Amino acid sequence: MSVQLPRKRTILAWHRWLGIASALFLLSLSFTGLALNHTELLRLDQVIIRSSSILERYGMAGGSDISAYRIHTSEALVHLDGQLFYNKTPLATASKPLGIIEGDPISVVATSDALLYLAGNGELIESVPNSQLPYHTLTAVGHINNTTPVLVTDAGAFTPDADWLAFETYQASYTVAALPLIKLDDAATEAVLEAFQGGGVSLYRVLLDLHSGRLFGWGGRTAMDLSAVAIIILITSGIGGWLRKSRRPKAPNSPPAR
Amino acid sequence: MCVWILQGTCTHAKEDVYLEPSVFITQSFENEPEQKVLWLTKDLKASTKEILGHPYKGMRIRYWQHGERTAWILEEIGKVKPITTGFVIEDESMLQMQVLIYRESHGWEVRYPFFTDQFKGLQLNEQKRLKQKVDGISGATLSVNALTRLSRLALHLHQEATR
Repeated sequence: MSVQLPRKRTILAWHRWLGIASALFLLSLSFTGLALNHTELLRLDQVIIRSSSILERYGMAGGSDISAYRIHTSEALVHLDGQLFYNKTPLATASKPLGIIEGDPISVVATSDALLYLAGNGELIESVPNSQLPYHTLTAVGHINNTTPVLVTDAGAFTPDADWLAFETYQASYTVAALPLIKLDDAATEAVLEAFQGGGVSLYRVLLDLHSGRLFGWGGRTAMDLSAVAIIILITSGIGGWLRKSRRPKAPNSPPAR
Repeated sequence: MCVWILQGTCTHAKEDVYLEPSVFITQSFENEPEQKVLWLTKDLKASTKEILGHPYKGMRIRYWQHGERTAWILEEIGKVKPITTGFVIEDESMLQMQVLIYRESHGWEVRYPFFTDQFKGLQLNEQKRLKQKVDGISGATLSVNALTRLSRLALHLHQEATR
């Protein structure tokens, strides 16, 4: 019993188009596989990638997500992806600041969900969540005659005592001004990113994830799975095409082989 | 069914507020307590680090006091999220421990009285360890450990605050 193979032209057409369609993925698989096989020689684990487009693939925020504010005359309070930094020193997990109230010895950074008390050198004294304050959400920070701060909240306005321990309801007028942003220089931005991202990811990690397709999430992994299937089909169609050729009967008037 | 399972799994992944901290403080005292802060000196920072296994983030800790009774609201990470817990202490002995806000996806059983009641009457020995043993809960080991550490810290802070 002989196996009925498709026509050679059909096999070659499938072979050709599948080869073209999967070429890019197969090249990626081959190059990354070769490189990963020689990790020590190429020192892939010692090359650190800091490209924002690559780091964003790993859920690491880039420089464009930084918001910076002036504090203590010449220092910077930086917010990046739910984390606050004093210059490049991590302070606490917090939302963006709504107000900075500088005082001696305590300066206060007011966010929508907590008050952060800082010492003059930027060290965190205390983080007080809203659950320990007389309101649920802070919406703005105002001032009375540019001196006494006013916390504008969902439960009304409050003024703090000198130690920021107790808060009194306030019902008179006050002014609210938006907290001005500052531009960080490149060195400061780099320092914050390094503190946040922990120095980036190694080229070995990126190549490994490119090889498996994980760098592009579910879609990338599926594409690499399909590439693996394509290799199997290409091998099958290649052998099929060769078998089809070898089974073709020789023409009766063909010249004898020399 | 998968959707139901996912919903069931996610039920405890969010922030569960069992008791507002302000309500806990109100319930812990018969009279209006005074709000105070305990500044962490170099020695106190060293002893809190010894108890927690890591430095306490901050330079002072807020507490409430009336007479010999103090109340503390402290946070410690179980696995990845902080557990907010309230402690009431009098005469160097724990009167009450209550989980106020739980944010982890597993281990929320630590909120139930069968666990928290074990802490009533607990005291510290000279090595800053609990005098009595606290029974754990299967599947909630990290949360149990976090709350045990916090209990030791609260008792130690009470000693320092009322010294």
